[in-house]
Amino acid sequence: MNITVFQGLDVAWKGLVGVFTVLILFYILIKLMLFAFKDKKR
Amino acid sequence: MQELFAGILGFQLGHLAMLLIGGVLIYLAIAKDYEPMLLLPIGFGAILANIPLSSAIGPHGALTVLFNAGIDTELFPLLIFVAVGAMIDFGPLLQNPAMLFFGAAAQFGIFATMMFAIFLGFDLKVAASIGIIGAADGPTSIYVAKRFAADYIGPITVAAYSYMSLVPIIQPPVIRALTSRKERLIRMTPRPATDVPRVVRILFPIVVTIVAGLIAKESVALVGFLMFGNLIRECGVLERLSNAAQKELANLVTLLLGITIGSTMVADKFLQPATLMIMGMGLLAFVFDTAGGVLFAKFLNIFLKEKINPMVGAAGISAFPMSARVIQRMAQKEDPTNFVLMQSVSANVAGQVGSIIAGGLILALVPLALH
Repeated sequence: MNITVFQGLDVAWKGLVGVFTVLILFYILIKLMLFAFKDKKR
Repeated sequence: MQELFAGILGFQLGHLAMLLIGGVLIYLAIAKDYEPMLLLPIGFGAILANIPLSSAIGPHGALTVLFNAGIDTELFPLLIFVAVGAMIDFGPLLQNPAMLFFGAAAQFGIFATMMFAIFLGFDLKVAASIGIIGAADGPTSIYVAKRFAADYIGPITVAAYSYMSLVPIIQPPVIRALTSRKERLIRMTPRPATDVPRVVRILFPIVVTIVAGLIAKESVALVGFLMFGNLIRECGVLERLSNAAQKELANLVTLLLGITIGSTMVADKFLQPATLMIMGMGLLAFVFDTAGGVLFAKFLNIFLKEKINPMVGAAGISAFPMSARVIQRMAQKEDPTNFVLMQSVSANVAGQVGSIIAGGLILALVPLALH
């Protein structure tokens, strides 16, 4: 296999894991914000 | 006298082919209603650029000036993001943040297509730009393609917008192939419609920008402009600016963006086997995205007591609100009393966040891998 394939695999797995990591982080932050401000009215 | 007929004398088959392609795009926009706001200006831009010796392109051509000012500087896609941000209501996502995971899973198509493009012989930068068609997000595709594959910006943009408009045709067969009727009939308990506190709606765009920026600095402009638009919408004190972003800014920049992208579709660059390959792989990206979302939902169902309708996973792509509508229509076709629209909309909004994050990560990771 040539080097581009390995570079691609490197980007692909890091990218996919990265997207999940960032969105999990957003999930936690949203939950925290909703918890912190649950009594505030819109 | 010869100068007068220079255009006719310089007319070649390539020009004719591009004029026809421009005409087809205009036809699709008008007759089929496929993303007319983009495909019509792109089609006309292609015609302007392919009249021999066209004064619209070249060093002093108006379209070249627009390209240098708006695409080369990345300004047009970013301004579109401000407009899109002002149009998005993140409320459904904030009410149901678990749907964020589908916004991540449905980005699978980007990376799978990128690998496919590499196997077909494209280098990493071009392959990543082709893969990003799977973001199902026009401005992100333009933004990444401009950085990594400027020569292919025309076909990549046309593919991104064409397939976005074809979501109702692309997604259903993929979903049906991957799900049983029993799965498509799964009912999801509707969540009580709780109001999201205003302070959370205001904090969300700010927090997302900071967190995404800290993780991938390349995403600051992409995410930041989208979230700036959303902050204008949600702050409640800038109604005029919010309206201007949603209407005047969106319309003006879309108009200029389309015709400028069209001007990049000159015969010698566009009429290549690579263009056909890009169009094919763009379709593949949407198929992989849909499959990624559905399969992820099925995977979660192994562990969940209260099952998720796996079709909702397919709404994790960024094509909003078309994908959510497609899922609801499919659910009601199986069972007219089944409503999964709220969950699908949440996943669809999550897809919009997921696609720009994926775009930012691609911008950050590709140069690192090549280093």
